[in-house]
Amino acid sequence: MVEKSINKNVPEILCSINRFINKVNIPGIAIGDALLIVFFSIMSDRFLSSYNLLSILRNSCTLMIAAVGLTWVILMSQNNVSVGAVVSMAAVMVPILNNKGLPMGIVLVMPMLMGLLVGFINGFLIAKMKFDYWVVTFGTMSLMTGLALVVANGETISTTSKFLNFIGNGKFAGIYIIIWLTAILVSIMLLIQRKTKFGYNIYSIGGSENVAAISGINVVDTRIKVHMISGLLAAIAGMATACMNVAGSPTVGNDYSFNAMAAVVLGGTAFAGGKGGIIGTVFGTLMLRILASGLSMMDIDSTWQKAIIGLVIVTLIVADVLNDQRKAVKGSRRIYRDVI
Amino acid sequence: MTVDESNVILKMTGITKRFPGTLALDKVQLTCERGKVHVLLGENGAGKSTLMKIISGEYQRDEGTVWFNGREVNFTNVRQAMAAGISMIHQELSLLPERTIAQNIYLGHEPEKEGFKGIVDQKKMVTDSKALMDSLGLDMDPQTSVKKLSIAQQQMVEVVKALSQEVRLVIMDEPTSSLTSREINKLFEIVERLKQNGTAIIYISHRMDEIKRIGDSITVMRDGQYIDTVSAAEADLDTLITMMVGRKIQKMYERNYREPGKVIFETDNLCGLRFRDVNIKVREGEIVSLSGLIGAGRTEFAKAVFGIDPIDAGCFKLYGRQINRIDPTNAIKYSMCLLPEDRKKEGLVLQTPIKENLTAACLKKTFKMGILRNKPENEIGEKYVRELRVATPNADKIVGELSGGNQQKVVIGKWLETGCKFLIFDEPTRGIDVGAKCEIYILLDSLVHQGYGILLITSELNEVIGISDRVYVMKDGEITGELTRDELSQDRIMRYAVGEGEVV
Amino acid sequence: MSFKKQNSASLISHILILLAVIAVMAFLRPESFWTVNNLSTVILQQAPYTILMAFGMSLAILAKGIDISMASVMVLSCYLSAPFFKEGNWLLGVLIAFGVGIGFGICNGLLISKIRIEPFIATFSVDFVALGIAYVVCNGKYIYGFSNSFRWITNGELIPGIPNVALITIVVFLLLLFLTRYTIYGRELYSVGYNAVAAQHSGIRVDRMIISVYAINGSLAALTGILFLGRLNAADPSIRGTLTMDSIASALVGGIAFGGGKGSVVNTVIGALIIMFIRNGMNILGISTNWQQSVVGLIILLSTFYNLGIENVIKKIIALRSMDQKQPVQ
Repeated sequence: MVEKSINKNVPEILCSINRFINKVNIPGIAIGDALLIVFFSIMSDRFLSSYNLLSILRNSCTLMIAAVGLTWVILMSQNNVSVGAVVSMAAVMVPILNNKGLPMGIVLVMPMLMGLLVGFINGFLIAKMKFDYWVVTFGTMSLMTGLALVVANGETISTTSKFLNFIGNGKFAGIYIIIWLTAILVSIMLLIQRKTKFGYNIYSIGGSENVAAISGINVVDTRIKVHMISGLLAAIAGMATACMNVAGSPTVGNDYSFNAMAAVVLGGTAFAGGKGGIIGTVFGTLMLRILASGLSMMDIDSTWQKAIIGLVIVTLIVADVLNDQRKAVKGSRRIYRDVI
Repeated sequence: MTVDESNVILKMTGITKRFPGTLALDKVQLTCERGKVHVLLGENGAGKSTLMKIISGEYQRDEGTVWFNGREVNFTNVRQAMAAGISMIHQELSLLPERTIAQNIYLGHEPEKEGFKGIVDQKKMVTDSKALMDSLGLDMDPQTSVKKLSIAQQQMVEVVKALSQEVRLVIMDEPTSSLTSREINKLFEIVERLKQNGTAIIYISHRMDEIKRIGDSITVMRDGQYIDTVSAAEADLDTLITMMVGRKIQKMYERNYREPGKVIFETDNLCGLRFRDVNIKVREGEIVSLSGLIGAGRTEFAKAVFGIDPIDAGCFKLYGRQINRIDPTNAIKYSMCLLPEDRKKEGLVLQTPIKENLTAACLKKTFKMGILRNKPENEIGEKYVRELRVATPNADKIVGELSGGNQQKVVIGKWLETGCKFLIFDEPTRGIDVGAKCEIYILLDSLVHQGYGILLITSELNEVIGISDRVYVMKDGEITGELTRDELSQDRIMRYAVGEGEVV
Repeated sequence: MSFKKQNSASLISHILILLAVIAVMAFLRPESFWTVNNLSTVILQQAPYTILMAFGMSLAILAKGIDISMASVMVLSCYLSAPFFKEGNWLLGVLIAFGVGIGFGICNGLLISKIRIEPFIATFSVDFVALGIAYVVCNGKYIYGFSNSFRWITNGELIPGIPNVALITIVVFLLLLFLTRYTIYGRELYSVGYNAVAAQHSGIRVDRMIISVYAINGSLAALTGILFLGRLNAADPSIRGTLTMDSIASALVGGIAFGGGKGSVVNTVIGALIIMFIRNGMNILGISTNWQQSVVGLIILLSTFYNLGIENVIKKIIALRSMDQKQPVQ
């Protein structure tokens, strides 16, 4: 983009919204979630029930898995718009493979392999061939969206499987299995992000690819792996939707790319990369789902819901970018004052 | 000079490196010994950094051999060089501001938990970096994030980072350029300790006093070529400078001074991104230099005046017109232009022909009623290719294919065509060969005689002394001194640039 | 090698691809593909919409951006203006269509230039919002049944044998070609695309340039929307279809390089024709639209490779030939 001075009269409110979120960091977005819950509880007496809260949690699972995978890509200051297409593809693969009578192991492994493969193609073309990540992931998005429609013949495919139904709708200790699985998956990702060299490298590359490279980090390898993980998690998210519906629709993932991006940014991971992380994304996803649930409890039409959520997301993305720029300018000034 | 063969750790011979359009290194050689400081001396663009990047694995050589620690090596990436025990302290800071000191020190080689491959031992990382910093006499909490440190402190973290693994050879690329004298002393203590441990050090610097103080031997490079290696104890300043520059300095800078005219540019307590309360003036027919260390805020000042960066407070006068806010379009309209620091990024559209670059700032001349006329465009192209002696068959050649000096001439031509009379030149001779430099100096002199006023920003002290009428010195964003032509000397400028009390 | 030769090399390679696509289809299905009727339908009746949208996409890519939102803006603008066209209040309809298009375009431009959000994210978000509003406004209802005089704008033949939609596309093409090649605006557009920082240092108002590019895109979207209304005789959000993807594919396949500054609207026309003939060919071969989407996605991926590969080969051939020509002079 253009190296230009920052316009001083940028909307101050947008910045302060985002500053508020960033100031308290992880608790910030969690407080936001809590405030929303309080707000909707006042607006609708049906909202605050253990049943509804549990269903919000359950509805968050698939998006959360996909968004957590996307978080690392954005942490490395890149992006991936093929998430939604992979979700759709995995969602239709599960019932199709199951209907063919294949063993459950294969039914579960094949979609994951598909996700890894798409992730590898993305990562290889972006990191190794140095193609633009927008073009590449847009290309794979179109490819996979089309393929999902092809294999499903454009229709929702249902299946019968006690196992899939159990995973998608069964409960353990009063909580849906799918929530347990998501919790385990997120915890593993969190451990990798916090404790391993790989996690450190993601932050380093996001902070500055050049610094990472001259510090001896294998940037290409790390980037490819992160894109593969993003593909894998998108595929798992798709499989989860298939389990929950015991059916797969080739258009189920259409909004996932945008929503996942929104969840990541809401959670405080900036497009500029290098800071933020998975915890924020978890709360970001919850916020989106609380918003959707609350709006529908207030009897707001589903098309309006979509438009309102879209506007909220766009506002927050703008706020995020603005705040980043503010910080960049402040940073350069601060150093100047220190030296004096 | 004599070299103890058994003590040699690094030996490079016949190193050649080509970049598209230029020969960056031409059969260069370098030999370093354990426990010695080897100084690498040369002007900007002499090829020092390229040579260092070949040692540290960032670039690959085209020809030549490198022996390290008794074996012939061919590092294809930074990791291999690091594993062999080579680490580099970069001139531009290579730290991640969002991460903590400890995380930065162990960036890329975090200690692992015993028995768990790939798991970072965070406790060990913190205690180790604390111990390491203590041993080097630095008192910092390893868990503060780097963005909270001053630039000097960051530079020291950079040093610690380079020493955080087993090193046999440390490359220091102008490490003192942003340090105060207290920290410079600390750094030299560290260098002394490294020498005792038998570590070899390659030290790149422009400061002659430093070189004398810590150097053991000196290799001089010029225009990508190896000139000579001398012992630091025997070398004298004048011969070194002559070797660096390739001719006597007096001959390079020819000026015919004239009586300056009226004031055309005057700032009034101008404040901006990294400078404040700047009061300077430039008169018609004089070259005024803005001198200072790298990072003193000079480029930021130039960008603010030209309207690229915002002006926070204050104002300036240009040809009698009072200006508080400005953008580049208006700046050109008011007869001011900026030759930017980075000509490839900011000055030129590299993929387009010479003539399109020459007319880029005055498109109205070649587009009558907004529609392209080929004739004036070609005429302007031919005119500047001829007058500025750009080495090209015609003005249709793509600018990216020209050498650095010729590219710079195109940028200058672009501004001359606009008819702007107040020119700000930011590092006009960086990275170009000596011949083109001379031509640019002669051009500057002739422009001044035609009534132009020039504000020159340059980091080369010889240049400042050679061609300026007056000099302002900037330190940490403030003007700390003004010197007239009679008062000019390297020592005086450095005194103001570093801060008077701190000169060693 | 000179500047012009580079560009002609790229153009020649893309024309060759177009011819190859046509040749393959003519060979496979001469009876249904290689007929005047089919070819003219593709070129004169189907391609114009994609070409118009791809023009906008190309301008955005030339200015180092991308415009994902065009198709949704088109849907919204034609949805909001459709009732007025139906009533016969043409002036108001045109004003609203272009107002919506240009308004969203300026919004894109502001997000990208002033707030400096990455073009992809900015237009992606605007796409989401525009489509959301379109669904809200639509609320499940179709608007259909326009007067014949309105539909004449698209389907009539001012010049016998050439439908008006093709005529309009040709006029827009010539205007854009002139604008990008022979005017200050064009020179500034390319400078911004190649190197926005240098353009700014040369006194070009980069922000205004970017906003104007996206405003042009918005008006192109509005124009396409009006023409589409005439063709389909109905307005509903699903007409967005695969236009975004097709126009990106057209620009990239035509040789407009992602990252700015390379290519011209001539490339766009060739790229769009390649895409349209591939789609037409697949229709004739009985390949489902679902497959077609995957194929276009694959083409987008391959075009990035191919822009690096084949073009260089042809450049080299031209370089060799010009060397041959020089030798007698020496």
